[in-house]
Amino acid sequence: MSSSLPDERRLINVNGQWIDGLVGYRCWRSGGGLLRSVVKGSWLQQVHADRALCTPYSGVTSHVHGPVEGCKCGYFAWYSPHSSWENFAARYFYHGEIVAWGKIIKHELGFRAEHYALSALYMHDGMEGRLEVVTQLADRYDVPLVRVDPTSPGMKYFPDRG
Amino acid sequence: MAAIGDEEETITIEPLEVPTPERVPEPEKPQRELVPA
Repeated sequence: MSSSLPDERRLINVNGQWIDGLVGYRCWRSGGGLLRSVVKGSWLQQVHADRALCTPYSGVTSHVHGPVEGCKCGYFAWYSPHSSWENFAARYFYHGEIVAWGKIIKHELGFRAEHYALSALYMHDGMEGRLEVVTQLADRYDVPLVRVDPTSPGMKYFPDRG
Repeated sequence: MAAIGDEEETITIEPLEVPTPERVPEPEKPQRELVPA
């Protein structure tokens, strides 16, 4: 066990309930006007994702909902947006910020969560050809579209903290 | 998604318990007196 893992929190309101959720960074594909999981192909139908399900992809089938210790289920996110960009090229994917809650298994560089809500989408160099799509996605989920510089080491954006 | 490293800690974040404001009953409206025509 470790207590030195990142623990950036953000207060959000989900269906009338306040949650002091864990901030993380993910990326998605897009299609049909929605964001889509990079690995599993599930669609983000609304700004709050449905409770995470464990699928055969995860390798363990003894449980329905994730995350579970020792499995690969749950919604993955990193503590830093730079990890997201390093793992998935910014020119092909849509990157953004989430707030997670419920059961969360923290790893060294990121976490697996039971629930998450999209809190911002990013726009950066290399996305010029996709500006219209990312703008429509931000409108669809009603989240800020934030201009960022992935090359900036201190890049972070918190809409409610200026 | 890939590469988030080894598992280290499990936490649970529940919704906060925010007190619901007490509902103040609306004052009763005075009954209108019927005035004979």
